[in-house]
Parts: sequence; structure tokens; C-alpha cells
Amino acid sequence: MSEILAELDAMSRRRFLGSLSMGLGAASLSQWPGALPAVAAAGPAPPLLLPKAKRVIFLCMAGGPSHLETFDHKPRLVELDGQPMPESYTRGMPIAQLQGKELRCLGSRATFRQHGESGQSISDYLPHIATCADDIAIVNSMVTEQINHDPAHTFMNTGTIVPDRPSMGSWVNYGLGSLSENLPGFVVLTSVGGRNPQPIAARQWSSGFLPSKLSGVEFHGQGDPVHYVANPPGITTDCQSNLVDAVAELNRLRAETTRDPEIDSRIAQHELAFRMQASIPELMDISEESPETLEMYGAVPGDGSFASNCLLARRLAERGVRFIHLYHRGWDHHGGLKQYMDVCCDKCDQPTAALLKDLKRRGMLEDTLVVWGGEFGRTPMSQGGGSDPGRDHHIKGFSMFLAGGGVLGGVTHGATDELGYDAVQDVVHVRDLHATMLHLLGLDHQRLSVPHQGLDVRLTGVESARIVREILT
Amino acid sequence: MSFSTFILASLLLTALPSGDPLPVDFTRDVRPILSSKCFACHGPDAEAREADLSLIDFASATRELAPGVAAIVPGDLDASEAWLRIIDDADPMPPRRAHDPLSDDEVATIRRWIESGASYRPHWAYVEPTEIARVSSNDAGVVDRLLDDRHASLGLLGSDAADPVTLLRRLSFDLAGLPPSPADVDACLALPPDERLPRTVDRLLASPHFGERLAVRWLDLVRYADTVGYHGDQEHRVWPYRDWVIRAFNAGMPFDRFTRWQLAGDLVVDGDPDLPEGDRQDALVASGYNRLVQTSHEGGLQLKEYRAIYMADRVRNTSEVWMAATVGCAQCHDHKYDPYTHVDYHAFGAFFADIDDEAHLRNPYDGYNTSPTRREPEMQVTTPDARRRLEDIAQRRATAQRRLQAAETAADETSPAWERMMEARIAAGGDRTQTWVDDVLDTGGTERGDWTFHTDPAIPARHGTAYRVQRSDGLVQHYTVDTDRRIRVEPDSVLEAWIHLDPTDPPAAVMLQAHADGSWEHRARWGDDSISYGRTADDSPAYRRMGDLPPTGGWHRLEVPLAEIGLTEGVDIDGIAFTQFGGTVRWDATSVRQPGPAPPEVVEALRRPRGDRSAEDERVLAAHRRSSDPAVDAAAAALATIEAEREHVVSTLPTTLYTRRLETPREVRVLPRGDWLDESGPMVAPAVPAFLGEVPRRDPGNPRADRLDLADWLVTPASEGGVGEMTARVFVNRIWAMLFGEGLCPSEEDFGGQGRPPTHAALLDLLAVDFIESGWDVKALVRRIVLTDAYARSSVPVGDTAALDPANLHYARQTRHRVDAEFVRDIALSAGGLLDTDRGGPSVKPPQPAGLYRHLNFPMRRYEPDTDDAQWRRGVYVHWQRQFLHPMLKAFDAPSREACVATRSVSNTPLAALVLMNDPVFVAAARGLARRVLADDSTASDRDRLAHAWFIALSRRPSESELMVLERLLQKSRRDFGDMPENAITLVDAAPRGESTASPHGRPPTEFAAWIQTCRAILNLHETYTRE
Repeated sequence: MSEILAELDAMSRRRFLGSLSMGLGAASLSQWPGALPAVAAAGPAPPLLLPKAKRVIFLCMAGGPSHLETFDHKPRLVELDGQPMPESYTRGMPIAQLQGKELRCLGSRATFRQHGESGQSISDYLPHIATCADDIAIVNSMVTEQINHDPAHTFMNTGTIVPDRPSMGSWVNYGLGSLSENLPGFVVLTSVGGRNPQPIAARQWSSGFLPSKLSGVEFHGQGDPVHYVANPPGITTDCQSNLVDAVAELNRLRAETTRDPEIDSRIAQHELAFRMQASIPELMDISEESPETLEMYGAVPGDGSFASNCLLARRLAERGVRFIHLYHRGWDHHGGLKQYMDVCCDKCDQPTAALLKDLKRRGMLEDTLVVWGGEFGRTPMSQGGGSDPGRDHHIKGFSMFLAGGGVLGGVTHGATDELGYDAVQDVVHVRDLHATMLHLLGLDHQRLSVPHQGLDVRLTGVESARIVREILT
Repeated sequence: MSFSTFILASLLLTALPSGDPLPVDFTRDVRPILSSKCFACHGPDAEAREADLSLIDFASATRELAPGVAAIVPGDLDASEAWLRIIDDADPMPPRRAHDPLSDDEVATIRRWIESGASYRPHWAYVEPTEIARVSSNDAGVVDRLLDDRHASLGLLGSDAADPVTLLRRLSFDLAGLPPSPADVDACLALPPDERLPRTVDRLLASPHFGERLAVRWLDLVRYADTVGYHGDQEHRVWPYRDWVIRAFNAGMPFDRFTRWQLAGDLVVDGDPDLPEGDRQDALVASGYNRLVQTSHEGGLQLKEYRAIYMADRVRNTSEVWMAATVGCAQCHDHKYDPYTHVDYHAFGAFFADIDDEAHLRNPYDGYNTSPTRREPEMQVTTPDARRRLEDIAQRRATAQRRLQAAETAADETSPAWERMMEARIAAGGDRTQTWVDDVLDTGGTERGDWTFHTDPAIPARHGTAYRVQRSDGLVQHYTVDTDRRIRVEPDSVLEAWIHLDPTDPPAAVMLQAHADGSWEHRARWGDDSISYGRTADDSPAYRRMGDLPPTGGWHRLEVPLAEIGLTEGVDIDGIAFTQFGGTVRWDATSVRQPGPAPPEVVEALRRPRGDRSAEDERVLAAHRRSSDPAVDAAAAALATIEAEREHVVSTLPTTLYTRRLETPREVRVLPRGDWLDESGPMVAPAVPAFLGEVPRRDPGNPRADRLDLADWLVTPASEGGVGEMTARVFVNRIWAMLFGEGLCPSEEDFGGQGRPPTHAALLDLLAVDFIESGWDVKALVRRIVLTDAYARSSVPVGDTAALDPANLHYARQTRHRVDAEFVRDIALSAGGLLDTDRGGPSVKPPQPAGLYRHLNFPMRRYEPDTDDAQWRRGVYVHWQRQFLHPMLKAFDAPSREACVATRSVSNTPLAALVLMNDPVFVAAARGLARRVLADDSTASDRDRLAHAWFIALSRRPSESELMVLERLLQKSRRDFGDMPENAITLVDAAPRGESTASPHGRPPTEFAAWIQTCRAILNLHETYTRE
């Protein structure tokens, strides 16, 4: 209750009344006997299930990593390497850059081995993640609906490509509230490094029509960690503190004459901002971590790398941030697949494994859901010529993995056909992934909805979504 | 029961002394329940319908479903199957799986509704305004009377009028988006009390800031931005549209015309040959509305997919902006709650199928990865300034043309003397040289690259006084083309250029290249083959290998017989390019040498005795005479200069996206489930949603309705076949919301069944009818509303009003809210004396955090903030990057403008507090405010100055307690900076480029810094940015 009140406190009155008027009232009222109508109506339905996870770390491999070089072993595709792709697979299917081109099979460039006690099949490109085989659930039957980067990210994050919809991090914070007094509930980190990266839009972490306080806040590994978090030049912390005090005092005097409750909120936000000016730089300073930990991640303080961001993700998780979204760009391998898989895996494999192990040894993996994957996969067909061709975008079947937070380790779920084209067994749609994530957080995807422009909008959309129970503990 | 009805019902219940519930009102009480709880399965969408039962109207709900069974039997609860299912504990309706049960109140409402006869009324938004609205719309006091009657019936106490300063600030924020200046405050207070309000309103409505203020709202609706939105989010050029919106509001353009021009400016221009030139351009600029969709040229995109995305974007936007309707929801299936069908959606989209805008989708790899990028078609816009310049140039050009003519006539008259001169020259022999460039580029035409001419005593020019220096690590080319000056090629003409290769940094190759007859395929290169332009394996006129480079360290002349690079007699050279690969090369005079003292045909003609000359001989001689007469030459050069100036003005005119019509519109098919890969659906022609009737066609002979018909329909009253009253309601409601914080219909974005019914339907109707009758006069509408008593009320509630009506749905008081993001900026800059009130032009780029665009690519972006006064322009002119909006604007809830936004949220977050405290722009404003109060009378006390600063920002004097807080902060800051003077210097000097850093009146930096710090407090106050 106090958490929700705190939420409300920070919410604008107008928005708060706006959400009242959006018709949330009745259902929540009936479940919250005795609650103030205003309070009950302002938040979503409370969690109804026993949550397994308290927070999410989503490792987005932006650009779309190849499932055929990571987790989806397809010997038949290797046999057909260089042969024409059977037309039965591709006729009438959406195709991105290979539109109108001759389609030929490209056998996997990777060697696959069995790992861990579970014997999960993982490629040699990911030697570190392979050591976590028994802690992760691999899904080899993902499908999405969008074949270009920008809309595919939007779809993965919001469940639709209709503009102005909330990102999943915003949904989760809307549903559960924040656990941190000094930090936003949804933090985004994008790493530097990698090759000619695809752009990534702030839309991907927007709260859409939900209050803007639920938007993801981007933290930067280099420069000011958050916009305007540093004092103006020449202003010391003491000076700033004097300023905040004087402003609070003047605002309070005004509140006495106007009885405007919004002023209290303004005072609180100024004070929170002042605390953030201290807490965020402290949080972002990973140099206090032990050399062993830094080495485990491969992190160098201040380098803005994916490794540093993975370590920051753990620090954010420790401090109560609900949803931590990491982007690493550069997985868009239309050509030079071998060369660039080396580059990307070199930057991402070790830190990912280190994050899983670090969370585990601190006892945090059990209530932290970690998700790894891109916005789509890549074609079994080759793209481009030369000694090192690539693969085009592919949405009919690809791989992701989940770990921690109530997810079974050591299982592989679903499968594509023998060429790795179509997901054919236990297909997991993006909305199924969303439903499963929400379920682990104790949220019912059907009930986490907000009326907007005439529709009860859900992260999982209007189609029915399925919780992937097979991979849950 | 939705919450609004809950509030309303409980208020009504509280208000009625008898305790009898009010009669059930279908629109207000019942329809919202049916819509949110029942229509998903028993609503308009026939495909999703369960049990073949629809509850959308009386006939459907009371229809016999089986013998003796009907869902609703009016007046008979126990015979109503629907009621029995609602109260069925074992298997209730709505079903448990919907997770959305009816509340007890809702059940009670349904019960009373059935008992009282289950009457239906058509949805309020689709019916015409009541007769009352038409009768009483001219009554000046009617708005207040309607509101006051409601207060009386609900037991609400109306607040008194706000004090004059609060009211002045409210009006200034609402109508101009700016605080009143101290002079405005004094002037207003000096007026007799009953003149203050009307005079202030007149002043503000006439102010050019009125258009800027209204534009902020309008630009949110139409999702105007400076970038394409998708993928690389490159800039596109459409700011003239923004300026047009501002000018249209300022000029009082009627809203019906405002509508027609945006939806169909191109068709307006086509259909009205009498439209004045300025209006034609404006109408086309306004038609840029149709081009504000988010666009993409991401590699691998699919044309048909994006065609469907653009269409959906347009349907959503147009229906939301003008109809407050969510037609876009019918993209995949019939609308669940409103009577918009899946076919309606596509038919509405078909209106936009004639917009020619697919070049970037068809050829996404055609050089679009630049910023700004291209989005064909774009039009050039003659700005008022450019128009003045062009008119001036036209006059000077006419004069120059007359002078040239006179010189030519004079040249003709001096013909015998000229012939004698020529004969002497031919006898003397020698060559002619026509210089192309030397010391100055004066050829006219367009140029690329650096055309600065340098002098350097260490390396004097070979010819004239200066030369160009071209330096590069790789391939570099500078050229001029389409020149006014042309050189006619003669049989043995030779192109010559002086060149100096730097001994410490020699190039690998250099190239001379000529342009003639529209082709650049005339190249001569020295050195190796590293220049790739036109490189052919074999030697050819398009890549003639002239041999080795000349020695370095001195001037050498490159010579190319023009015949060797494929230029034959009679061709005109009108462009030349200088290319090199690497190195530092100095390029001096370039010319064409023509053998002989005159062209051969002239020499021949002169040799013939006069009487024997043919007409052709005479023509040749006359032409040569003119071309070699110094007076003609001078007059021609003067004209060329003017032409070049004109060319320059025209070539630098801004361009903007506009609507160009396709002769043959794209075919639009109904896409089953919205799937663009499925082309099995039927074709549809443009049409408005079927339940709203048909669009009258301007030309009944036209086989299909077009965008102008749609626009006409939107602004034509019902009596003449349109839906003008509906459109007027939507707009009037938004203006009301702008002036009261909340609309008469609170869901500004959705007038449909899932929106909220209006709290004051009759008032909304009345204002809508009045708006139409006024000729869609926006300023008159604003004036009418702000001159009501209701508008002038204090925002401090009296009695129990705040508890009874927390959302202020009944306007017994005014509302308080933080102003929009743009105005937060404007207020701070205005207090700091920095605000630059220039209007219009390209979007401005104030400072922003480094690296904000680090995630953009194609191309990588580098933000170059403005350093001149443009950085202090109003927020409405700030560059709008859809994917990475300026963090200051974003922190104060400015939308990304990816989609229509009718109501901005008003958040209160720590990120916004960080902006006020630490954004350098706000620090600069504090510095400016400190400078303002330190600048005047040097004997003023601290208290006077503090009160002055306070007055500038807040339009009122501080109270004694407020003054004490400020004084304490000032004293503390003096001590802080006194202890650490280096910090004071840093704060004082940390001005963005372009802002003065000098301390006023030579005060020490520690003193100035203490004042800056104190002014920061004033610019961090809640009140500073609150419209009360």
C-alpha cells in the first residue's frame, strides 16, 4: 500500500485524475475493499499470482543474432550448403533484403557441442554462455511479426507497431511500482563498440501513453550518466543543497496560500533529484568492484562496454531497479557472418555468462529474470557472396534464452524445421514471451491493461497469449 | 461504471436532498457500461459476436433470440435473459474469463435501466446539436448560466474572480504562452478595472505569439516534427508547414479553410485558378499535413507493408484530429465499440491513395542516408524575405537588360570603325585567350567545394593575385557547372590551367574535366590512375591519360587540346571540374586558348568585300562584334551578376514536403485482418464511415470522392450533407480544454463509445453551433470563452468544492497546471532577458547534452547547437527529433510527435527537476535574470533587487517571508563564493557561446555569482511555471 501511495505521490494530479477517468475504477475497487477509490483506481490490479521474479534484466542483442550460429543446430542445413533453398519454404513469405534474389542454403558456420549435465546444444561461438547451460532455458521456436529492425524492436518491446504504446519495462513498473527510492524503475544502457550499428530509438523504452515517469531512463556508461545529473559548473554540492532547501521553503510558502497539493509533489521531486545527483554517480562507478569481479566480466571502468553494462545491470538490480534493459548493437550480419560473429560474441559472451554467475553466487538469480535475444533471427539462406557471406533478417523461427526468476535451467524448448526456417514445434510468439515474463513477475497478462483510445490495451495485445509453462520451475 | 459517471452519480446523489436516485440516463450511465463490459462480444463487430446477440441498439437487444427468449424485455427484469445471466453466480456475464466483472453499482444501474424501459439513445457524438443550442447561441450570458445552473444543482460553490494579476498571467500563458512583462503588468493595472480584461484579451489576440501558442497544440495533433521518425530518423524538411500554421492562427484563418488546405491544398489550388499567388503557395505548404507521417527507407523494407503502415497512420491521424474518432482501430476487424467497420477503415484510407510519396520506398538505396534526407516530392517556398529580394532583383534585372540592349545597338552603330580595328588585329596575328576562372569565381551557375582564393607571399600567384588551394587525403573534386559564361569550342581550342604541386605533399594524380551538352565525360588526367571518376581500362576521351604529373614546387601549365577529350567545334563549355587524389595542389588561372586573332569564320567574312557578304556572314560578324565590344561585355557582365544573384536566392529557397496528386490513385483493397500479404480482399473506393452517410462530391461526374470532398464534408453543416457540427464540437472542446485544463468532453481524443460523455453536452453544442455560425472564427471562439465569468474564476476552491468535484469537471473554479514544455523554456528565457522573439524559419538547435544522438546512424549524427541568438528562440521553434527529443522538452512531457496527441500528460518527475536545476540554458537564464536586476540604479538595496527579480518572474511582489528566504540564500551564496572565488568565476564564465560573460557594472564575480545562485531559486519555483 505505501509503495503505491508513494507512486501516486510522484504522479501528477492531472494524470492521476486522467487515469481515474480511464475506467480502471470498478474492477480494482471490488478487489480492494476499504481502499480509497482514488488510490485503488489509480494503479493497476495488484499482482494476483505468487511472483517468482522481482526484476528483469533484458539483454537485447540488437540487429538480430543468427539462431543457426548460436543455439539452433541444423545438420541438414550443413548438408545442403550452397544448394538452392527449397521453394516450398519461402514461397509467399516476407523477405527483407533478399527480395528477388536467388535463394541458397548456408550451412552453419559454427560447431555445436553438448554442454553441462543437461547436454544443451550450444555453438562454439558462445564458450562462456555454454558453461551456464544448466541454468538457462533455450527457446528455439521464437516467432515475431516484423522483419525490419525498427518495427521489430518496437514489436518486441511493446507487442505492437502502433505508435505511442508502452514498452515492457514501463508495463512492469506500472504493474509493480518501483522498489527504489533514489533510482528510476526502468533503466536502459546501450553499449559502445561493435560494428556499424543499427540505430536504436528512444521509442523502444518509451512509456507511450502511460505516465512519463514510467519511461525508461537511459544511463550512459560514458560522460554524464544521466542528463543534467551533474551540478552546473561552479556549483558545489553544498550550494546545490542550499538551493534545494530555499526552493522547498519558498514552494511551501506558496502551498500555504494556494492549497495546491501538486506543490508537495514538486518539493519531493526536487529532493529526489538532488539525491539522485549523489546516488547515480556512485552507482555508475564500478571501479569499487573487486579486480576479480571486473575480470570476470571483462569490464574496464568507464569504457561503456557491454561488459561494464552487465556489471552495472547487477548493481542496478541490487538497488531495486525493476527493469534493466541492455542493448548491444551490431548483430545485423548481412555479410561477413563469421567475422562479425567473432566480434559480437567476443564482446557479449563472457559478460553475459559473468552476469548469470555473479547473480547466482549472490543469491539473486532466483528472483531475477534474465532474457537474452534479438528482435528476430536470420535466414537459413545466404546473403552476399565471397568467402564469408551473411544471412538476412528472419522472423519465422529464431532463438532466445531465459534464466533465473522461476525459469527452469538446462532445458531446450521448441524447435524449427530441419533447415531452421519455420518454428514448427511448441511455437513461442513474442506475446507468449511477454505473457510468460509477466507471469513470473506475478502479473496476469490478461488483467494488466489500461484503457486507451477505446481499447483495453495490454502488452500482449488483443490476440490470446500463452504462458510457456514448460520452461517454468 | 466508469469513474466519471461514478463521480457524477455520487455528486448527484449527494446533491439531492430527497435521496431519490436520478432517472437513469442512457448516454451518461448505461452506454459506458455496455461499451466497456459487453460490446467486446455483443457489440458492433459482427465477426466477434457471441450467441448472435448484439446490444448496440434497442431493436437488437429486444429481438427474440429463441421462442419467448429476449436479452432485454423492457420493464420486465425477470423476463430479461441478459439480466438473469448477469446475476447468475454460477456462470455470470460478463464471463469470468474476461476478468472484468460488473461492479455492484453497475449492476444496480442496469437493473434500473431495464426496469425503467431500457430506452436507448444514439451515441451523443453522432447526433446533431439540440435545438436549444441553435436558439440560444447568441446569448452572451448563456455559457455562465448553463454552468451556474449545474453548480446550483450539485451544491458546488463557484470561486470568485481571480485577482487581476493572476488573471493577466493566466491569459498571457493561455493565449501567448509567455508570462506578462513587468511593463504589461503595470499597464494592465493602470487601466480602469472593467477595461482590464477586454483590453488584455484584445492585445493578446492581436499578438503574433497567439499563433505560436495555438500551434503548440495543433502540431501535437498532426504530429509535426523535423525528422522522419523511423530507423535512421534523418531530418526531413517541412518547417514551412509549422510557420504556415502559426501564420494561419495569427491571421484568423477560418477553421474550415484551415482544414481544406491541410487535407487538400493541392486540390484547392487545382480547382481555383483565381487563387492569389501567395495563397496558392500557402495552400500547397499546408498540404504538407498529409506528409507528416513517419517514414522509413530502411534497407530491406517492403513497399506494400509500408504502404499499409502509412495509410494506417493517416487514417488514425485524420480521424483523431478532425473527428476525435478511433477509426484506426478498425484496421484488422470491425471496431469493437464504435460503428466503424473494417471496410470503413480501408475506404477512409482510400482518400489518401492519391498522395504521391513512394519514391523513397521504391528506391531505398538511392542516396537517402543523408541528414537532411530527401522525401520527394518537395517544393520550393518563396519566403516573404525572399519575395522582397526577388522583386528587387527583377527590377534591377530589367534595367540591366535595357542597358545591354542599348550597348548592343550602340555596338551595331560603330560597325565601320570596328571593322577597321579588326582588320588591323588580324594583320597583327596572335591568339585569343578566354579566361574561365582567375582570382574570383564569377562564372555564375552552381559550384561545389571550396572556392576561396588565397594569397601567400611565399608562393605568389602565377596569374592575377590569388589562387585556390585544394588539399585532401583522398579523392577530392571542386567544380562549377551550368555557368552563365560559356566558351565556344573552335577547331584547335586548348584548355589550360596553371598548377603548383606542393613538394612536401604531392598528389597521386590531378584531373581537368569539362562539361558540355549536359555531359561530364571529358576528362584529362596526369599522374596515376587513382582517380576513379570515369576511369576506363583503355584511354578514351572520358579518361584521357595525359602523362606524368608536372614537377613539384613551381607553377606549370596543364594543356589539353579539347578535341582530345571529345569536345568538337561549336560545342559550348559550361562547366569545369578540378580533381585530385591526395596532396596539396594550388590551382591558378584556367582558360581556353583559341588560335588566331578571331574565329576562322569571322576572319573569312571580313575578308569578303561588304557587298559580297551573305546574310550568314553578317550574322557572324554582328555576333562577334557584340561579343568583343567592351561596353557590351560590361553590360552583359552586369546582367550576369544579377542573374547569378537571382539564381543564388532561388537555389537557397527552403523546400518543404507537400502533397502532389497521383493521376491514377493506388488501388486499395480490404486487407483481411490487416495482413498486407493477403490481397484477396475486395477493392474499395474512398468513402466516409458508412453509418455517417455519404460524402457529397463537388463534381458528381467524378467517379470517386477525393480529399477535398472529405475536407468539405468535415466542415459542412449537417443541413447541407456534412458533419460540420461534429467537427466543430471536437475543435471547440479542445479550445475549451486549453482554457480550462479539461474539455467539456473530458476525452479530447475519443468521442466514441469508449470515451467519456460530455459533462456539459448542451454547452458543447452551443459553442459548436456558434463557432460554425461565426464562420469558423477561432479568435472569436477564444474571445467568447475567455470573457466568461467562469474563465475568470480563481483556481482556489471554496467550500467543499474540491472534495465534491476533485477533477473540476464542473468548472466551479479555474484549474491550475504546469505550462507546456515549450513555455517552461520560454518563461525562463524571458525572465533572463534572453528570449529571442524572432518568428519562423528553420528549426533552432539550443545546446543539448553531448552524445544524445549517439544511437542514430545512416548517417551518424553530430548535433551542432546554434551559437547565435537562434539558441534563445521560443520552444515552438526548437528542432524536433522524433527518436531523441531534446531532453528538456521530454522531461516536461512534450510528445515525440510519432502519433496524434490531443492531451499531453503533465508529470512531475525528478528528471524535470534536474533540468530546472542543471540544464545550462536554465543556468544561463538565471545569469540573465541576475544581470537584469544588477543593471539598474546602483543605490538599490538587496531587498529591492530581490523583489525586482521576483516581480520579473512572477508578476507580483514577494511577501516578507519570501523575501527573507531569498535574502538568506543570497547571504549564504555570498559566503560560499567568497570562500571559493574560483567557483564564482566558473559559474559566471560557464555561459554558452554567444552569451555575454561580463559582470554587470564591474561587480566582482563572487557577487554576481551569489545573485545568479539566488535567481536560480526563483527559476526553480513551482509558481514560475504554473498557470493558475
